[in-house]
Amino acid sequence: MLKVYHLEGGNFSEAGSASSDIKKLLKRLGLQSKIIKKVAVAMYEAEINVVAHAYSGDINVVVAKDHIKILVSDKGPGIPDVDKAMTEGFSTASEKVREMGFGAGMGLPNIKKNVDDLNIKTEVGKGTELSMRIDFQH
Amino acid sequence: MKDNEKNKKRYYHSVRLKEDDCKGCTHCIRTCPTQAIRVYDGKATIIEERCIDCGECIRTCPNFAKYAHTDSLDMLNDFKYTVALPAPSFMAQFDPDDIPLDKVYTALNLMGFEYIFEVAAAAELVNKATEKFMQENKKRPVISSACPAVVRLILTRFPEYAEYIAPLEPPMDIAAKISKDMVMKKTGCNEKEVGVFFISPCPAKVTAVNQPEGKKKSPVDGVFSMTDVFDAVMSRIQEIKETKNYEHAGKYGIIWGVHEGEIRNVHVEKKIAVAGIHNIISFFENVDDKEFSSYEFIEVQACIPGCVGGVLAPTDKFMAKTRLKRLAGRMKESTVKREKVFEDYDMKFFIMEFFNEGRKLQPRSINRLDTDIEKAMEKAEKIDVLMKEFPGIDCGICGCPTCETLAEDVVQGKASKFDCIFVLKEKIKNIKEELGDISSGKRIKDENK
Repeated sequence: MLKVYHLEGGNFSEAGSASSDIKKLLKRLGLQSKIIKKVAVAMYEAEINVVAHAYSGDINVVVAKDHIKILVSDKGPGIPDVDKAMTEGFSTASEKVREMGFGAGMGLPNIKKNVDDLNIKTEVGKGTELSMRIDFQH
Repeated sequence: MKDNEKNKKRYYHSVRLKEDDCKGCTHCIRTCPTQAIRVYDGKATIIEERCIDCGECIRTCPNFAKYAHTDSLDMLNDFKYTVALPAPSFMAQFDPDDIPLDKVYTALNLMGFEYIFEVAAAAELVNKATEKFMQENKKRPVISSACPAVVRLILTRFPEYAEYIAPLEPPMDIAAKISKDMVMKKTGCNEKEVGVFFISPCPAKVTAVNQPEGKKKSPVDGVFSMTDVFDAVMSRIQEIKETKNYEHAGKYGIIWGVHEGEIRNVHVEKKIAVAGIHNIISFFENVDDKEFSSYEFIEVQACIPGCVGGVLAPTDKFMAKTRLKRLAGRMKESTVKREKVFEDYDMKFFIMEFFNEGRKLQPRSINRLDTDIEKAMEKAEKIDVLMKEFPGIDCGICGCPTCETLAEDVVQGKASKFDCIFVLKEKIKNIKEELGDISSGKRIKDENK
């Protein structure tokens, strides 16, 4: 099944509502708590990334019986150096964002830790496309 | 119906309905934190596996149709020796400057209780056991296990947090075990001859005794309503000529009866106290993983402002809170004798599973739509489709608390989408138009085109 969400840049209070909704869905499907937690963490971090860095973003979630795929595509500045962005503690978040308690440079590393597959397509000045997959059985 | 009867045997509930008094209004279905109530055919029905006995519906029902089943005070006659276990909140039901605690306890003696053991004293011990447990176990955060309504809420609605609940016995159970031991040693009688009774501010404790989570049997023999005991005490106050002296728990135990009482004596840096069942739900729904794992200890109490706000506590909750704080302020931090009791029992005494044949708290999710994931997905998709048909105003006229719960009930075959008056109205409009078309011959003309 498909779930679609939209995010606006800078709207921090809205970030997290998509992952909450998916969390609720996965509970309904009766998935294990540790899988739900992984999905919720990865998706929440992705949502924060969009509102902290991009102008807007769309999330498409496809739930299958044995895995979940999450595609997050945003219109934004893109990531100039993906390897650097994957390093724990590296952040390009603005001072304003940091003051709100975000931008610790843990977003992408945290996503990677929680997913089975992660793909990043990015173009500087245009935007970023993050696709991730989490398997239900291990 | 068959399902309902089967469940009735599976679950004990203190919270019950007086069907004759129920007018079928929708107050209770809206405030129920686990969406456990529906109104069918003009009467409320409690869904047994969803109800956590918090008592919110008792608080809300304008017709007093909901009540908490508690034990009758006559039960005191069934035992050779009896012990009263007053909850800390009980101590706040009387103004200490008007009716001192010792006078209240003298009245309890007059009522037929031979012994009185304050649950607050056991709370002090649980505080210490918590500290010891946290030194020995590094898993964080630790969620308090003291409030049975919240424990049930987590097991049913937030099973993902069940593993964080402290495996510690609540103060009520510890008080029951210690006091029973004491009386048996003192009198030389056997276990069955001693009746231990909790004086409860809430129905959740009644259920915790009759059908405890994670254990076979509670050490408590009966639970009395705080209101019943309050009335019995008040009716005997006048006849008291001589007040006896009693030993009292320390301030850190007494203060457990109010919000932030338990965490006061848990000495860790990052701790949080959440009170109110709806606040607890929004906490668990909104807390992100990072924030959650940054806490070391979480106090959770279903009532505001803590147990003094329980539905069976007769005194106004904020008055009671102030009194309890005043009372605690006059007490010693902790009594030496209590310390000794703690030395007499080792850590095992406080850990739930040692006394319950290795039983542990078992999550039992009420969120799951189907045991088969593909069927569950089909149902989830149907819910999404139904949600587009429903108005989303949660009017409650269908008997469900929200449009979403109606959608859930429909996919589970427990309701029809036409229970929604908006969907029904639309359907009637369509039928009317169709009938109009047929009678005017428009339909036949259209079909011949």
